[in-house]
Amino acid sequence: MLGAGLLSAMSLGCVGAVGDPAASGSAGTGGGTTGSAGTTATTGGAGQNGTTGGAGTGVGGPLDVGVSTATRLNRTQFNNTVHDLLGTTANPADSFPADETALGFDTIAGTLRVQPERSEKYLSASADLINELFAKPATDATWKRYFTCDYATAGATCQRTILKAFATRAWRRPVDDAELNPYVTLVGAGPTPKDGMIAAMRAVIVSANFLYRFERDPNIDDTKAHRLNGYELASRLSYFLWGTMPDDTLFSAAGAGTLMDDAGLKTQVSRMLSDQTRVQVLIDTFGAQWLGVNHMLQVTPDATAFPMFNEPVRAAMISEAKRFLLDFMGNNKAIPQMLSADFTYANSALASFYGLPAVQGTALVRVPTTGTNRSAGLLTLGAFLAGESNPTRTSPVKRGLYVLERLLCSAPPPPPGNVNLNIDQGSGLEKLPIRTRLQMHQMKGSGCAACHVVMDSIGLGLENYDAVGRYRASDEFGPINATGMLPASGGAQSFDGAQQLSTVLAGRAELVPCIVEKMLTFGVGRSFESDHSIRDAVAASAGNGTATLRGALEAVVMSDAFRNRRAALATEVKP
Amino acid sequence: MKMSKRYGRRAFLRGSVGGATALIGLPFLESLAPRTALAQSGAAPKRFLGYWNPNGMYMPDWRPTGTGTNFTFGPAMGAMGRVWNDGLPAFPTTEDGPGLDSVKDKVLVLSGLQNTLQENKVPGDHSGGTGSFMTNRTVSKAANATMKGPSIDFLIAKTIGQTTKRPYLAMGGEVGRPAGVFCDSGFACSVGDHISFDDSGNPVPRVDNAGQIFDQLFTGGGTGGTPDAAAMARRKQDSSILDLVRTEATSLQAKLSRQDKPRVDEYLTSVREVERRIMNVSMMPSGPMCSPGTKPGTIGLDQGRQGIDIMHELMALAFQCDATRVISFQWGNSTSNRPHTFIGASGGHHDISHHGGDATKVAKIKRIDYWWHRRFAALITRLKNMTDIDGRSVLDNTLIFQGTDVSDGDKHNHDDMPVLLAGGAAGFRLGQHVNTNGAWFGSLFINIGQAFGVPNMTMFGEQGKGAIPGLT
Repeated sequence: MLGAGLLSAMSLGCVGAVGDPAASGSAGTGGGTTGSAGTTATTGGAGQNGTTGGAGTGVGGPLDVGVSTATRLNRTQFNNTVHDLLGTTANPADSFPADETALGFDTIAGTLRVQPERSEKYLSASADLINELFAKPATDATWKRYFTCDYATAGATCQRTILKAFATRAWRRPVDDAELNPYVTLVGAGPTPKDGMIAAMRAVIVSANFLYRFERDPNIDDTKAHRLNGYELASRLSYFLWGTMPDDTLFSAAGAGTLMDDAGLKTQVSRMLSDQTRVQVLIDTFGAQWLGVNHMLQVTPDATAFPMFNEPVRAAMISEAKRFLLDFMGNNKAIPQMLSADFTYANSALASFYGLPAVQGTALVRVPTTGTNRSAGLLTLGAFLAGESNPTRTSPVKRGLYVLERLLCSAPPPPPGNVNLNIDQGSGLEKLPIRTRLQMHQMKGSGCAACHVVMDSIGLGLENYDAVGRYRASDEFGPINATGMLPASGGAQSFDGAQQLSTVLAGRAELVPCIVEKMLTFGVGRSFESDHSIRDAVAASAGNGTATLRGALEAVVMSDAFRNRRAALATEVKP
Repeated sequence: MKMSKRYGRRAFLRGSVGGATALIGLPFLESLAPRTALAQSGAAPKRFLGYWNPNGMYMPDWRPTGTGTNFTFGPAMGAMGRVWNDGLPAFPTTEDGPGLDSVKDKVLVLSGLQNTLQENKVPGDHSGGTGSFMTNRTVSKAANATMKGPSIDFLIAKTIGQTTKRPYLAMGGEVGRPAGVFCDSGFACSVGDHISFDDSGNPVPRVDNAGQIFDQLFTGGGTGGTPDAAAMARRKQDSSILDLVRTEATSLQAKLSRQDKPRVDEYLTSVREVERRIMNVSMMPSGPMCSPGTKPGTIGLDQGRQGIDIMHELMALAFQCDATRVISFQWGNSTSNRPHTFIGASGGHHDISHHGGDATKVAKIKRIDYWWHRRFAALITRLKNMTDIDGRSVLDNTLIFQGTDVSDGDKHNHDDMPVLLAGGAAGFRLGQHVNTNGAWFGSLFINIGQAFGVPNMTMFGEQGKGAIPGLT
């Protein structure tokens, strides 16, 4: 699997990758570029980048915000959207083919394809959904919202009115009469007005206008970046933060034009992030994917080695990670404190599994962790420790890679293909401590050590936690040695154990820019890997090490990368 | 239909499994009304099954001795009743069964084939061997990578699958990885954990749920049950909707920027294909064509043979009912780590496959391979015992191509691949073992493609330059 695959050689560049000053260096560039967008005086990017904002104003040329593409609703978004649009509680997308993922997220535009198997499901789901709507009583709120006149007796004008109200919400933008003409015609073609109306409303949600988020460029040959219009921005924002269509307030703001200025946009972002129920979706989607929480669904700890691990513990670990994230959405603590939190969430089963003071009941509650062995925040979450382990033993490589990839965005380059990637290889090796095995492995190839020293160090620093995430002072080979060091610009930083490792990681300059990069990737739906200037500028505007999770999300939304788009050159279009 | 009492389908398809009742009714072939169009012509359709296993094989147990017709199966495929003496918990007799020796005259064993590696110097042998399995193309690690070309099953479906309810079906035996989890060494699962790809090299969505597979094949009036008025009205409405949205999307294209046009193109392509399928379904003859029984429930991964046997039964029923003629099956995810505790092989399959000579792990991987070959032999036997409309067996009109991502799961090598072919549809000479001495998978796919009438099958993938001689 992942970790085992990366267990091998790499170039010297590896050491540099973690302590690389290039990241901070490029922040300045980024600021300049952002400013240069100059796109508009009101751009959040330029205005917010206090440290660099001024630099760009004089530089010519547009900000390249990259090419974003029409984005198909993924399964979560489809379900949430039909809930809001049709007042249903059904989740038809659960039976759709799984969404293809890239870059660790299921919102990447270029990867979300449509195949016949999916279109068949759209067609059948539309019948179920619209028939359900037509089974509602006339007093139903959703029904009344669209059916403001009697389509059966009041004729085509009324039918058009109903379809316009419905399509405007379904397509998340104003709809013009010409677009509606074929739909009105379809009503008339039905064997009865009701059949015709059902057909037309089904068509509204089988339409590409419903299934995709389209954004337009005023001139497809002009590749300069420009602001999204209010409705396009409202949809980007709503699908980013809430995983669904804009609500009435946001939609009205789009119509009133208030999203086009910083203050108006900020008002909406603030309102949306304050909605604890809706924000749960952000945790379940972005949060869970960023931290790989759902990996926990598929790990299979060996029942003989870990008889105490069971399904309630697995479920509680997943909930623990999500509740931990949700807490940071509202607790005003800076992002680096996610690595030294003085709390976690546990229920009776999980508290007992971890050896924390007893908790009653199956519901998770916030429990203090000060002075316990679970006070390293993200690094002592069970879903991470158990999720990145092998069935019978820990995998320091997987854990190390996870930290590099998901917290520092410094995943090492892959090892060469001719290297044996298996540290269990060779009879008898399993009889040796894992640290010894990894050290032997590091020495196997000429370039191996450079990278493995970093990955393995991080993972070995967490060896006090076994393959199901429980604390242990010793293993079968004796007391755990959890010491290590990470290369850094001012000399290596050494640590002993999870808490000290957390302190080292919390101080890394890449931490917040990396998390911002993940947010941008998820929210805009494309890669931000190749050019760090955008993410670094956004992180700076959020306050870097002082940024909160919420502040970082706000900065992402206020950035040019989120609010702008541009037409692509022919050479930039991939099939 | 002959079937031993002990291994009868009734025995394994019934019963409460994982809390849900799993039951597939028996199709009584002998009592079926004839499938009108086909029955009248007297010809039976050909079928293709591409079958893939994760984590390679334990090659010392797989490798046959001797070549030609005078060969003996390795112990993984050979006779039942193997004695273990490996210190592991007992191997339940209910999980044992006849091996491929019981259908030796229906099987062609191919050794010495090689498949394509992933990109040069990029680790990820499992992803590399999975995406390339039926494409013979290099798997790229790029985030939005495609395979840049179709898999052989997709080409076969384009040739023989256009008049059935489903032109093809991609099935999976394990739930795919959730979002946020990468495949082998950071590959996108879209290329690193699929085996079926369309013309542009995008993965064909895989259905991993037995109930959903059943629905796709057997519900919606598509298998010849007389459509009632409501079903006919629904089809008419579906067609009118698709006609509208196709016209709309066509005009929409003119207003969009260049980067969005490929998205609308693929939307249009899929809408046209669904329209075609609806037309097909409405043209199918009425009358009962088969008896697929009732929809199966969900089977837990730890339930032993019941989970895989239900998948096999769905394949057999799909072929028998002519609901589809082309199936691909991924028995597990690439680098599948599910345990086989029910045969005493606890721990993750992928972890075990990296045994490094460890005696316990070797014992476990031997058990897994032996167990799976029992189930595969049962599938072959099932198809052999099904009478097709031409009076032959369904197996005689089917070709099964089975293989893995890597050869030896411990070594990760891509040469000396273990490959089995079964069934008579391609006209291969069965009942023998052929060492192909380094032929590429792509060459074998030329043999197969030609046998199924795929046009222009002179080259395939990156290395297929010509058919393998001497197989027919």
